[in-house]
Amino acid sequence: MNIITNPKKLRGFEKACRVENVSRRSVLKGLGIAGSFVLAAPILSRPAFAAYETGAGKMPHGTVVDPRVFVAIAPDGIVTIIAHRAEMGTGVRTSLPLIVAEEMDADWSRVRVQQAPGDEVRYGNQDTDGSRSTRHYLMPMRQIGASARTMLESAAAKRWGVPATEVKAANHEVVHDATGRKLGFGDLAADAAKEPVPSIEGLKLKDPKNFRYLGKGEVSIVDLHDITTGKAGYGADVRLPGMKYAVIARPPVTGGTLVSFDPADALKVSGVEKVTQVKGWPWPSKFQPLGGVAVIARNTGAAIKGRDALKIVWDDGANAKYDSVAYRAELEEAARKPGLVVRKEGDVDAALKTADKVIVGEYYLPHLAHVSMEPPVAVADVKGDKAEIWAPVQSPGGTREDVAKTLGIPEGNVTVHVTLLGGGFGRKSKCDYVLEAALLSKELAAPVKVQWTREDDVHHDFLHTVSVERIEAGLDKNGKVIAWRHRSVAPSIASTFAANTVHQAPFELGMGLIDMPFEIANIQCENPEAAAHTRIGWFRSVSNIPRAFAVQSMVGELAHATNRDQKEMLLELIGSPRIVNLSSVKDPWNYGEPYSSYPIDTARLRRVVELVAEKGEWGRSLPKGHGLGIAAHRSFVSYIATIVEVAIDDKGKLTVPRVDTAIDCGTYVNPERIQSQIEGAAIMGLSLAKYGEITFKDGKVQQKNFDDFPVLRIDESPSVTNVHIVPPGPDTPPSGVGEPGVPPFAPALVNAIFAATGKRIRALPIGKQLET
Amino acid sequence: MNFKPKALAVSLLTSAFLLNAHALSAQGNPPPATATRPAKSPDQMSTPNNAPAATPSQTTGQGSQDPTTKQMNQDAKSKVEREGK
Repeated sequence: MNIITNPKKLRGFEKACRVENVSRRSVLKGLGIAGSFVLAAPILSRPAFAAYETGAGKMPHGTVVDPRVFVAIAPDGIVTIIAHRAEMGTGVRTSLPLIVAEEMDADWSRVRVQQAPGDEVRYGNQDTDGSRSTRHYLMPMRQIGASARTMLESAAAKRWGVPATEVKAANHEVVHDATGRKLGFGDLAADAAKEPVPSIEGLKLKDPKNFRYLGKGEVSIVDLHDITTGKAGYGADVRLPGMKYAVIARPPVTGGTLVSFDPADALKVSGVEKVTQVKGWPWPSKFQPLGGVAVIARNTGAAIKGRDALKIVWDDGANAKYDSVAYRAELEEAARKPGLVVRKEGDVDAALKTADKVIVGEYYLPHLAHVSMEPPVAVADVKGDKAEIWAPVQSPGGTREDVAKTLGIPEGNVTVHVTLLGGGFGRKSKCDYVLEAALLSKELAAPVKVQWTREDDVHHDFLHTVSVERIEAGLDKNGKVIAWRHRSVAPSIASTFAANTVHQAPFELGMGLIDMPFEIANIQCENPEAAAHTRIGWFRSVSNIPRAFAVQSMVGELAHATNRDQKEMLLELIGSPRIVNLSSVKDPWNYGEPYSSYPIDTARLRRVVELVAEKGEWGRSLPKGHGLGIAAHRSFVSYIATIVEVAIDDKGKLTVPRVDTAIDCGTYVNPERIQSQIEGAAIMGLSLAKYGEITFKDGKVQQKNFDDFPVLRIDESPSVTNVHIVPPGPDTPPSGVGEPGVPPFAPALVNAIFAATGKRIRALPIGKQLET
Repeated sequence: MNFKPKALAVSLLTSAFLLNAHALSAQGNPPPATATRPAKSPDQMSTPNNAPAATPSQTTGQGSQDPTTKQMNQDAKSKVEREGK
């Protein structure tokens, strides 16, 4: 537990963040203890017990369900709860501690949240990605809270000499109703710390009907005030005494290497102290740095000017001819030929031959850059065989591991402080920027901040893949779809770890390709070869973006071809309420979740379509130039349906007056966060569809900043975004929220554009395609 | 359940007048541009390159021969194949 106990050890960052300084004496009396906990009590790493199974146990380091790791209570009653996942705007830093507080029956106004450092042995898996924090940790957090509550109640019962069954925790106190006696959590903390941690199986969890916080949407995120008033501290805000600022010139082509550099002019820039080579690794090398030339200065501005003055010669290497126009043509060519079969039911070839009509759609989606508002940045302070890091990272434990391996020091000697992330979207799951800072700090024997500029961020991202999706749908004479072949060609994220990768990994195939849930007799999914020529990485909702775009656009095309309503076509294709059987698929992946808890349930998909159609007033009359489009998609084991209304004027200018989204994410913690994530997904979906495109020429990214990789501005945002959350059943496991809102947006948008104009958009971004 | 937060809407409305007043003032007297774009990229050149066209069928990565990085790659690949991330 990383409770800051000595104010003299506070660095500038912690002060700026206003971390609650719990004195060491008060912590020692409390339930969770920093130093003495490690000596006195082993960590109970035990699997969480739940009515439903999740993939949490298979994640590295699984779950830790020990209240002494996550909870501390001071004598004044302040409860400190550890947030072990990174905060990048999803609210998980609030939601997970809120679950603990709910089960403890703590008063949230007397709870403080403490960010955990990277330490997965202590806290369990900390990877903040895959939209799985709540679905993996709802039950463990409830058990932690219930364990703490039980220990407090036991302590009170002993003090009063009554059976534990006669006492109960209520709003930050334990009460004995028979006598009216009460004791606050602070009064009981020292005694509670001596109680044994109860067995998980015997825990009594709160009845959800008694929840005060969960499911209500009335608790703001803990950082809201600081974020909105500019006081919140991010990675770029970290300042350490004696810190150097570094900006790096990296090889402009992936796989390129440094030949030579001339630092003379750079060293003349006022503020520049040193120019040094940064070690790079041959690509692919996981998240290891690209290498290059670092300019070290007394401030970021001087470092940037110094870098501008460098003279550098590169060897661009094997990817020097990577060209987006040529590569797109090659992908399209590959999609028109058979590929590796990854799902096969019935006989698609025979069915297509006998079909009355075949509709063919080829859909192209370019590389995308994350461009989270906070570019990558990291501070490292390496002293001998010890390293201290401050960085916005989505994988604190993974970062700690990679820093240790890269520096060749014990992992226990590495401390990773996780700052707030100014957006992540998957970019900050890769810790290359942290490793750069660590290497430079080691060389300079001083704290170093490596700051990426926006240009660095755009040029050297782990980009979303580039994709061609080709779908052939065969219809019989009654307009029923009897055959569906989907070929997906795209370089794989696995190319980041293996040099000879030409096919997508099971997790990529399982995102909207092999798990397509339509009720069609003959289905075949294929994955032709596609090698990567740049770094490919996870991007919010990953391969679901091109897959949902293709599948749901094809639904729109089929509706038009058969003169049917889009929604009716969609429901017909989804078919009867059933559990989809993927026995023909070798590795269905299912987001790492067991089918017993997270089957592909078409009834839930139908329900969100019907709900959004009802709430979104599908079929409502619209002014001239307006159109409605609908799309539905299952991803991260949640179900989403979106309706987009577009308005297109006679010059082709596109605006979005209204968006409606229905989401079924099972049991939820904070509906206000769901609302914000879906609103944000609409903004991101529209931004990507209108503008998102990274192109390559001569191996180099051609874009550099928001002037040529624009993002949606506030005046273009949807005027109204309505979010409709399906109430969960009593035991419906929680499912993902952070990512599922993105995939259905673009196809709903282009289906709406078609309804308004008759123009079918199959290649993104929309760009100037609507201009007249 | 249709969740519509109200508090933020109230705060935006009350600040709308102030924002509009400021915009009117700005139109008449645009502030001086203070943000400067990077003057240029580093003075870079590339050595002559005989690389073939980058195609979907031809892999170009070489991977690191460093044992530590090789192991990191393998471990990460296994993890990714198992968990997706």
